[in-house]
Amino acid sequence: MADIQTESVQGIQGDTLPKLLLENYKKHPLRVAMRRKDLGIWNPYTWEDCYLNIKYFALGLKELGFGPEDKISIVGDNDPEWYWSELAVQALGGTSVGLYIDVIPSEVQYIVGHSDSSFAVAKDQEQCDKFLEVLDGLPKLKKIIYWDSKGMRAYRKMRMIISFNEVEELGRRYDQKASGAFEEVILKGSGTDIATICYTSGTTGLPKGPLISHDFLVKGAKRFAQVNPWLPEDEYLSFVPMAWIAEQLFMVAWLIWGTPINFPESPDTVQENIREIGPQFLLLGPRQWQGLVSMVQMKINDAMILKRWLYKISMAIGYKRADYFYHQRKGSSWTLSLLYKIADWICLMHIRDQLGLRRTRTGLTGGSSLGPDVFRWFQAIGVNIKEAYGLTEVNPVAMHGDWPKAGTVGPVVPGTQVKISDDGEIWITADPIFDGYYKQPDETAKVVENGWIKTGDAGVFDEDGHLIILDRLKDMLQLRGGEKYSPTYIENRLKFSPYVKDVMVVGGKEREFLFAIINIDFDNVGRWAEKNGYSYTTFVDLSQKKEVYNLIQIDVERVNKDLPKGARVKRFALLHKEFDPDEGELTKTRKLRRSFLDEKYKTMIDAAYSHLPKVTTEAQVKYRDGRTALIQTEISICDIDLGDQSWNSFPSFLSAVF
Amino acid sequence: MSPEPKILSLKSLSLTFGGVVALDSISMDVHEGELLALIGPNGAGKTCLLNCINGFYQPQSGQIDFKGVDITSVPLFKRAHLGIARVFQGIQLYEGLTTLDNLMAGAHMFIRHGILSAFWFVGKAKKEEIRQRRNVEKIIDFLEIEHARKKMVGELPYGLQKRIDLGRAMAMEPELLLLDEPMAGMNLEEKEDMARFILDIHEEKRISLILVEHDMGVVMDIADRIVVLDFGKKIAEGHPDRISHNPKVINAYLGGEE
Repeated sequence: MADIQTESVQGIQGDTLPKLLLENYKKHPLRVAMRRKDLGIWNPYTWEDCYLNIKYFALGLKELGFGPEDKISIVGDNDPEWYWSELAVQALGGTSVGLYIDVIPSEVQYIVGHSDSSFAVAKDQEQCDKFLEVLDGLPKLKKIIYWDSKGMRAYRKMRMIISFNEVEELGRRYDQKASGAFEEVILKGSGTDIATICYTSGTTGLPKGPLISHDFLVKGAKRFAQVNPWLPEDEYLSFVPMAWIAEQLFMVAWLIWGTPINFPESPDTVQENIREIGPQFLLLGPRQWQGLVSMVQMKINDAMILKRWLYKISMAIGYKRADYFYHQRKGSSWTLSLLYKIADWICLMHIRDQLGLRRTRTGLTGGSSLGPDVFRWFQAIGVNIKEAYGLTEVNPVAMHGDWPKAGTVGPVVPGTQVKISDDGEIWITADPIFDGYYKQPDETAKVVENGWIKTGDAGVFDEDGHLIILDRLKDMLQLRGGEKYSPTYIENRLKFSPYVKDVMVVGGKEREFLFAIINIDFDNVGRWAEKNGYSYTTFVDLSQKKEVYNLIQIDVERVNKDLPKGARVKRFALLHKEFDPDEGELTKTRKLRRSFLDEKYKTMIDAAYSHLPKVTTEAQVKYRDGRTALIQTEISICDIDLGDQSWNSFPSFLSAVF
Repeated sequence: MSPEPKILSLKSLSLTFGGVVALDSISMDVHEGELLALIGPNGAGKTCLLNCINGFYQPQSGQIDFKGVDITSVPLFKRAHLGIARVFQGIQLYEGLTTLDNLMAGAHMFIRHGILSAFWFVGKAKKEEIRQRRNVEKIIDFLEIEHARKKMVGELPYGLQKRIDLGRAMAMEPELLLLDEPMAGMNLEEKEDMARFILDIHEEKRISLILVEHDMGVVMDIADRIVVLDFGKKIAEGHPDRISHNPKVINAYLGGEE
């Protein structure tokens, strides 16, 4: 990239995050740094506002006894206060520890205790309660600081609890006594200091806490920008969890390039807020991208016939152009260009507009893989969606640049090295990698070998040098007949259906065929049922309707067409409930916890392999207040005739593997 | 008993429809900042009593004092200005308007400006609109209905509509809020949410509330005091714990042998 050397692309220099902040404040104090929607209005915060808030909060913390190298746990929605408290702590030479918003009290106790946090910043009553519940197990915790006062009236008298504003007030008073102290503290920091501990959600076992240095974040963000540059005039909407390394990296990008960050009004209004902001840069999880596709598809299904027809034609042109780009890697022929212009004008542009993606230059996804169908769909409507692959331990690893390719996570990012080990595992190194897991040298030794990180992911490079992540190495499975398959791949294909919300594919060496446990998408299937005149009462009732089984069967058969014959889904059941992170069925990032699910639905799985047509499951339901109840449900298991479906259009990149 | 002054005081209120005695000499008080629950079997006269308080019905005898002033003969619309708002049993919203417009409509009685300044949207009109919008936005934030702000009310689910209806009543900035079965037809989760919002209104906004509700679990949990009606008569009054053990109340609900 030729313009990489220009001033705006270089960004601001500094080796720690607080130093970057200070530079921003000195360089352009009055430029807008953040916006938050509150009471229906987007309120801007300038760099000066941010700097002063951070400064006062930091000094306030100091007054409360926060020492260098102390740690602070933060939990809450993405809000300016999260950014401010993290930077304040880092300015004091401390370390922040991010928690996911749906963390449960026992996890709070583990993470806060394990990280030795002496302070906690929790958004509101809901989050404060989690700390208060396990307070006895957290002897090191000195204060809990909240920033949203709603519902906190009963807590104000507690000595443990103090508001964000009160801490700032303490800092303001301290600043009057000793001004200039804050800047000095910032300048003392060094790049090798630990900025944050990003506890991983972990599909197995207790969370591990990788130590992330300032260097790691600053250099990581710069490597990132070499592939997908950030510009000061871009807009970014902060929505993915702050506790996730990706959002941490974007915080650094904000500090380096000054791209304003926008905070949504509430988690429920994100879709609207995206539309209001029109971000050039957007990171959503695969589920959210999928959600957008389902939403458009459902709305189109409800639209009048002319609109449906226009959509169909425009999308056909869009797909054609997407394929052309993909194969030719250059502009399309003039006829196709012209047709696309018309399709864009009639339909595609308006879809982008409705989704708020009209200005989106980089629509990123990460965390887990995105279905190729979703990928193509966005390419067809003209959104260049890009996949990225990274680990908390080294980030980013691979990412799509200007030529995204479905099914891959893109070429390796400059400055990062990747090699594939003999048994197909991806090994990575970069400068720097993480500083080990906090207080777990054994775990560190398991993952790091001579500076290389063993990811545990199975992967291959395709002919263009794009990395393909197949699955977790231990999750690449074989059926009894020796047929290899990746459950995740099949699941993602199934989830492209607007009627399928979640799915787990069951198989393994002892079993001769694949069985799928499917969660229907209640909204979409419900709407479909209403439209077709099938009455239903509850989720359970709807999920067990014969017509719904027939509906889902069509989707399963569609996916089966793309799979090798031996590894097709032969039976499936529609679950009477949704997989739920609160019940431990999904991780916090909503990945399936397979072994747990295997155990939980054992009766159903056994029934499926015994060729029974029905099974009765018992489930213990846990309510919020701790009460439990036993619910019995009869679930049908449907057979699919594998017959002589031809194995057409099997994705080329996978045929190389199988 | 309570040190708080009375906000509402009913003195031997009677209401008859022909030969039917709907309310029979009811006397009761509501103190400032109190959450008073009104319970009783079907047809006990709970809704009639609310209708008398906000002026839908004119009682044949008795007196209603609001903040120490006799309002027995004050007409319906003026009582709203005095600070009495109500959430009805059914949903009373404009289905074709957005949540925001519904709440703004709830605040329409504060409009003082004339048609001309409204047309040019200057001076008083603008100032009032901004003030009302700010209040309405605070209610939206309070009730956590941001996502429904610009959506047509008719398209929203029932539980959410009920919450918006509560917001509409709050937009009148009342001192006394009458809630007529705000949780009827809701599922457990929606009920829990609604109970939390009612408590928040009560505790954070210090609005006095009269709550008519059939779900005894909710009533016992959140009410400061309970008044029990049966066939138009007040049969008991007091703290939830005492009410739940009162033999008269048990009789009224379960049917006793008399």
